[in-house]
Amino acid sequence: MKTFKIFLSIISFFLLSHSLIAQTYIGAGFGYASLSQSGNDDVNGLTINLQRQFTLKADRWSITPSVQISLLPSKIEAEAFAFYATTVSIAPNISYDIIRTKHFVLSPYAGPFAGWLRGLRSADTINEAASLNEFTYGIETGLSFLIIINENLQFKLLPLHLQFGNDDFSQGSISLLIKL
Amino acid sequence: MMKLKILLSFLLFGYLLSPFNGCSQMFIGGGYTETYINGSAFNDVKGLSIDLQKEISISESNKWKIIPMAHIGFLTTRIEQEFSPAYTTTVSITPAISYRALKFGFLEVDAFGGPFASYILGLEGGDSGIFESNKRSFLRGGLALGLSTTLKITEKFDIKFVPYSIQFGNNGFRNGLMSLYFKI
Repeated sequence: MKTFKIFLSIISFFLLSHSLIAQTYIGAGFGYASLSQSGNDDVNGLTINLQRQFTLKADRWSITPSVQISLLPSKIEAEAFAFYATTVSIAPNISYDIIRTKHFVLSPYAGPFAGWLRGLRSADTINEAASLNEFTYGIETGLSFLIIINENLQFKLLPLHLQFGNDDFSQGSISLLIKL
Repeated sequence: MMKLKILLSFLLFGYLLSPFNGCSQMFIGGGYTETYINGSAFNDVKGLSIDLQKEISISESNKWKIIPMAHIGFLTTRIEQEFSPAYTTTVSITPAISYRALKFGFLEVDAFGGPFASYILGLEGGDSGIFESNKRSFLRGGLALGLSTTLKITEKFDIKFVPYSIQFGNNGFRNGLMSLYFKI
């Protein structure tokens, strides 16, 4: 509870500050999700990312509310137990610029996430079809490489983006975002 | 290959928007969507959507705008069905043009339209006796039309309501959408 309050205080501080710089990024990449401990439900596919980054002027701290949507069809054509899953998650991440140059910024980030996992497993000769509808939550962490070409054209590479959630849910992705 | 095409489309979409930062606004929202995947009523599905828009003004009076839109639909109404359940998702992009038809104080009403491209991906689950499972994966394209109402509450806080927008696509594809957006 105390951690939660501290986290809320940090977010409030950022959002109420008058010297905020806000930037929006959108992108996509490769996503991989593990939905159970057995590994039978590991799926991969396309990830779409949207981020709104709030940075304090002349500071290295940022808060980045993020939305991640994953369409995971890698087992959709499996002969037995064909499976299609999607995830949607939101996370108010906090990041710190550990390296900052004119054209390059390296920032690790972390924060809690909450998400929705939806999926369908097909029937076979013995088993009936089954749907998946779960609320997921946990911790999200990763690394961000911001490449600044000029003021308007900026790319953000997320080479390592990880979510560790409840009920053995975990998800990883590699994405490339562009500043809008 | 298909995934790569979608990824490239998104990157291109984002890149095309990047030079217009000076006079643009972003909106994110969600709503209710209904999709007729083909001519058969059996394949009508409904669900939730996540939507994104970027408004770029192209006239001094702000009457004309280019609005690139992205829409992701999670169509779940058939997912619990006993026979042949299905889960379908749609991802579409629409570079629309909008015209402000009315303005009353802080309320604006716009009509918009433009071409769209949509990728439909889904699984029909089959059942244990009669039907086999079946993958759905195809592209649809056509014309998107709609109306939007924007409430300009403060300089930084706008709410946009799209009571109805529809995509008329090839092969009997139709997608209706009602959504609420917030300016970010």
